Amino acid sequence: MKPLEPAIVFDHFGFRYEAQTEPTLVDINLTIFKGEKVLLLGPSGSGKSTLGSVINGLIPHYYKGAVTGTCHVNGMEVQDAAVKDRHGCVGTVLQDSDAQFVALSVGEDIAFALENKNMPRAEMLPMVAQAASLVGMQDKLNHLPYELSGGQKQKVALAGVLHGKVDILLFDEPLASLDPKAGMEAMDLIENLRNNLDVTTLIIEHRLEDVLYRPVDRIIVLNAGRVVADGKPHDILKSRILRQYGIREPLYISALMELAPDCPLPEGALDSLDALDLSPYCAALTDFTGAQETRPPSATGDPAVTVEGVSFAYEDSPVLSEISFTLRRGERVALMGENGAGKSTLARLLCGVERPQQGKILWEGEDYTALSIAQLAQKIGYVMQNPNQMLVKDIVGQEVRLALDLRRVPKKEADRRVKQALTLTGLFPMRNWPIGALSYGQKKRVTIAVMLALEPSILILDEPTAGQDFAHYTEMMTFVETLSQTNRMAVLFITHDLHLALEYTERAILLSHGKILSDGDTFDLLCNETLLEQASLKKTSLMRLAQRLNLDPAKFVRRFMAFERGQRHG
Amino acid sequence: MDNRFIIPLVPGEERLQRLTGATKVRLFAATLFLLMSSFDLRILAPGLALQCVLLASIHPKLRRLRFVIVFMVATNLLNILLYFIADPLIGSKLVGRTTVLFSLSRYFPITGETLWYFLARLSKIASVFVASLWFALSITPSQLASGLYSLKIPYKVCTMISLGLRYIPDIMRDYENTKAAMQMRGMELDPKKAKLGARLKQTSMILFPLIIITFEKVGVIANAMELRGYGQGKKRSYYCEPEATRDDFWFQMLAAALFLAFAVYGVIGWFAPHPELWYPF
Repeated sequence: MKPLEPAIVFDHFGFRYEAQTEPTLVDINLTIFKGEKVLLLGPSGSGKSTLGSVINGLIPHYYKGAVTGTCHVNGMEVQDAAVKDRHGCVGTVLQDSDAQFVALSVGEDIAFALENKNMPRAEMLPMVAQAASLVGMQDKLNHLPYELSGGQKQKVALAGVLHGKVDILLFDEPLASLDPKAGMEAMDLIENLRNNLDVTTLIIEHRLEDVLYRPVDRIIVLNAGRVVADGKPHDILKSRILRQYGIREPLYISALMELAPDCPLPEGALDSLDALDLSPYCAALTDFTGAQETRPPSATGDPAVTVEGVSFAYEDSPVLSEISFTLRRGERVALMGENGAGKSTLARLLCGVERPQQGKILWEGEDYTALSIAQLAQKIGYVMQNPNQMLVKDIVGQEVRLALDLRRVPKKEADRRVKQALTLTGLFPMRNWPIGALSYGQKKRVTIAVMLALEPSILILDEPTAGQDFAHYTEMMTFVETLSQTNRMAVLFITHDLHLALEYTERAILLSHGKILSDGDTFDLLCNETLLEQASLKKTSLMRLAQRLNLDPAKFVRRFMAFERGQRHG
Repeated sequence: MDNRFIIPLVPGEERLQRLTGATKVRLFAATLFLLMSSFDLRILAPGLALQCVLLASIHPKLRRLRFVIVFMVATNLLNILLYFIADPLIGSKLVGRTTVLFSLSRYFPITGETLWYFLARLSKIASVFVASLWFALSITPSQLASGLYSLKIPYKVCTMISLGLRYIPDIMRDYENTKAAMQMRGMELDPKKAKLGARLKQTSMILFPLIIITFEKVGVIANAMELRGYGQGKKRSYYCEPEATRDDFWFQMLAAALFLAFAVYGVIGWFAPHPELWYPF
């Protein structure tokens, strides 16, 4: 074994942004070795993105602030070396794959760094071709950004930093905007590059289970600007400290540890389910799954909306065809499918932003053609993924009141509804806060409050948990769950998150290429391998666990989710 | 997303479209200098013919341009009409002679000089318009940037122009989404259900979130560019700029000839002042 050579060394490193009073990073001591693949975990605001910015040189050259201690990247002290000496050796792939695509074609975007070095075009072409083939985009050099999927844009961004000798690759939440299948491809690609190019790889993510689809050498956990854990994945998972920092551990770990607490820990690495020896657990888990299956009763509420044979196309390209389903009050439904399957279009049709070209949509039994979007908003609340797209006022209370004022709801009634919506969302104490002072998750809650004030019968939540760590996620979902029960509201989740669907919905609708692939019990659908494949979803670790133990996956997952829920509430 | 603009994002296959950005920008600039400098039909008429040939050479899809063409023709005819109503003798004043051909009424005599002036005016507008069309249809935003850069314009300015064009569709989409979000909160923008004034006032409210998300995006773009070493060197090269060919040489010669004509015409005008409007009769 060759001796380990350090690639990144933090020594008592601290950093405070110029505009802030508290430091974001405190006394970081960390050594990352050449060729290592490291996962950086931490809840929102833990400083993990800031740590990334130190490594790629944005700090302290682009974002100014006060630095204490030292940090060496490839032997260079970050404070001395200008960024330009470094961008050749640290390649960064940002989270927003859309905005970081600065050029007008794939080839041009890959060439961007070379253009900035004033490299003659003749030298540039073979390098672009080489980088493109590393990520499998060599046939798409002339494609426009608008023609690419999120996963493809991410590959282009990656190719754009793979020129020449790259020593360190840094991925900032690479899974955030991808569907599960594209996410798996991304993790495969990262693993291949690590093996072929021998680069040091850093991944900043909070979706631990999805990252562990391919092995990592080390996990570093940050909390409140400090390193709170640093070790091999096996040891970190075994210690179960992740939960106290608001990070969800892989569900198979929870299952093994909770359901068979007396079993000795399995030999081998806990981070790889496929390699684990599960024989000691077999009895306990089979026992747990039991013989009898308890199925929840199917929903019986009044139909809130009925979609009948709806088809829709943008200009000449069909997006949805022959869609039919009914949503009942009190139901919680997950709408899932690959990016571009037509999920958002379906939501826009329900809200009346687009109108069906064929078929009809009935609201409480009544055709909705004559109703404007604003009128429909009283029946349906659509909470968009990015809360900044929805917020227009300065103060929380005013924001929630706006829609009521627009409708000229009498003052007394408006006061009551605003207060109720704010109380339900836990925002009442913040009613006089400026919107700008809120965190992303709090803004998201404001957008839900805004919709609740209109007292709709259906709430559509578009990726409600994107950009939120597990603590915020749980808080928010518990709150939505309560809402649907107390207000008899139907809630439709548009999501890629299989765990969200399994934990909080009873029914799933899978879309693929504009058609309904399947509509039924969430557990039956999401534990069906064929369906998962067709809808670009992936098997959850719980399902893989059940399969390895020869248990009925749907049954086991259903039981375990109920068990977990029981633990959480009691 | 569908690209609804006439700006091409992929270079075309026609001869003119395959030229380098540098050549196209030079040819267009020289054309503009020459056409804008005079009301002289001896220059404008061949100029118009040349622009039409250039436009025809790229086989434009006229159906997609129909709206722009109809709009230009209509506004310019209206423009001429207004000029005539404001001053029926405008051409005569420029030439210094008055040849009344016939009169519409006592106040609106039709003079040969004015007709000539309008002909020159229309040719000028038409040739500049046709030139803008072939230019817009044959250059991609990136080539425009590289073409301008080849004229020694600082590359940061060039990048701003191409980035602007790159993100217009994104901003349009953000606008549509924000508008939908506001409507879903109860903002009535349905023309049948709200008055125009109220709709205008409410539309202005959409701008606020639009600005916020655009700024968010600008932040990411700036980071992405910084991380790939943008703005560190004094010079920059362009991936989109093909190698110059023999065609480029000839078209650059054409551009030089046009520019020379502009210069000669200017010098002659300087030393031997001629009337503002050349009138042969």
